[in-house]
Amino acid sequence: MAELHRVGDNAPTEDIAGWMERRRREVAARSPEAEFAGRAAWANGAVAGELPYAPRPSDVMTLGARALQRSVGPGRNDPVASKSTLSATSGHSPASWRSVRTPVRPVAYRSASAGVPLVPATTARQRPTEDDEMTKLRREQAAFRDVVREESRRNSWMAIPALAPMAIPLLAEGAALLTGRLAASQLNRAPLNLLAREPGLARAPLATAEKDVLRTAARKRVAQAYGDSASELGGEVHHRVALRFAHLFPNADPNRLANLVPLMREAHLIASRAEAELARGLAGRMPTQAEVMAYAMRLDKLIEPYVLRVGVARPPPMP
Amino acid sequence: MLKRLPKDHSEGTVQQVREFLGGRIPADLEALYRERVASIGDFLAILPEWNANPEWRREGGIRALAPVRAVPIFSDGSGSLYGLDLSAGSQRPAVYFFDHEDLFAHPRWAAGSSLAHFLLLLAQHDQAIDEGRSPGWELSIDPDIDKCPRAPPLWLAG
Repeated sequence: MAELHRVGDNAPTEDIAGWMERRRREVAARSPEAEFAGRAAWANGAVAGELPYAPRPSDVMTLGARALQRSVGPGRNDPVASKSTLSATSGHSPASWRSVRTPVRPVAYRSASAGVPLVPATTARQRPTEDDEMTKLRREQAAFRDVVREESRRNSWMAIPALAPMAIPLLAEGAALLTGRLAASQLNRAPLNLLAREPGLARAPLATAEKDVLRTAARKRVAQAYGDSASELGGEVHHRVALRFAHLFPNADPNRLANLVPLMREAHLIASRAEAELARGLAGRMPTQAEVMAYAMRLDKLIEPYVLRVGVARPPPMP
Repeated sequence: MLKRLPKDHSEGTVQQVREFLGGRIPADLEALYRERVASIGDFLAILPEWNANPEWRREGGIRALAPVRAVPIFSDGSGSLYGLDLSAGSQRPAVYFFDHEDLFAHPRWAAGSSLAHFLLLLAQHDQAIDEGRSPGWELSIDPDIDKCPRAPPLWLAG
């Protein structure tokens, strides 16, 4: 059977069975309990202000194993106490190897205030490194920042004289913006009133003189667009949307060409009667834009055969 | 601006309107018909269509203002009418504007204290608007236009 030699030692060889037994104990020592005990040792060290030296995750487990071993007592089963990964009895005899399995005792984390703190297995004081120094430096920086923040809060009133000249206009602007937003929200809640927003356009029904001016302009616009005036065509200019409703369309020119139709007089009389019927049906109520447009489109179909066009023979007179 | 009818049917027109009015016709209106005026600018004259054959005669809208005791004499080119007042009695009849929007229900504004003044004002109507004359410019031509009994002048019509 193959024999194994103890590393770094003149110890007698151990057989494979002994080696397996030792490895089994070592693996048992690295159980989850050992990792848990290592984390507890790390936490206790942080609370006590002396962090254990464990730069790698495996070192935490080593710490835990050492703590467990220490709770049992030093012995040959301590995998960390010796520089060797293997240990042997003092008898140096393979036969004297004792198969002692380290009893694993779960260690629960206890805070410093809960009772006796756990003693860290090892401290950074013993082996100070650069990482430890950096950790300490960061801790001190954090503490310094806390002090600065507290002092700034305590002395913040001193900034008022310096910031007041700037703060007053900003506050005024903020108040103006707030007022504007409130006004805008009130405007959004108010019913839509397009007439009031367009000061240059019609808000009330047109006056008689205004209608007279618009009708004169309509005649000229039709004559310009068609080449012949409506009277030369033998008809009259008809406003599809009557001037009495022009104020309902404040953004529209009453004399836009789309609203002007050269029409036979007889058909214009029919259109006028239809308009009067519409106004009578409203019983004093002002119609909506939709109602006026719907009426105009219905009337378009009615009067379409009697619209006068340049170059087109005049339709026969209405019966 | 002033256009006359190519043929003189004034006698027949006067006769036709006289029959419509019950045998009497205002002197100013008869004088207008005898002038054979077809249009002044874009304002077409409202005339009955005369024909020797009574069956072929057409009234041509002469009755449009009968309910309001007026005779239409000119169209404004937009559907409304200028009408000579028939309720003046022995006074010289005025001319009023009747709006098609209210189906000629009543005279809207006074267009002339007499037919002669009205023709002068009508001839300058478009020019006055183009020039932007101030309201009441009509008084310089027709000083009595604001004294018409049935309706105020345009600038006071509201």
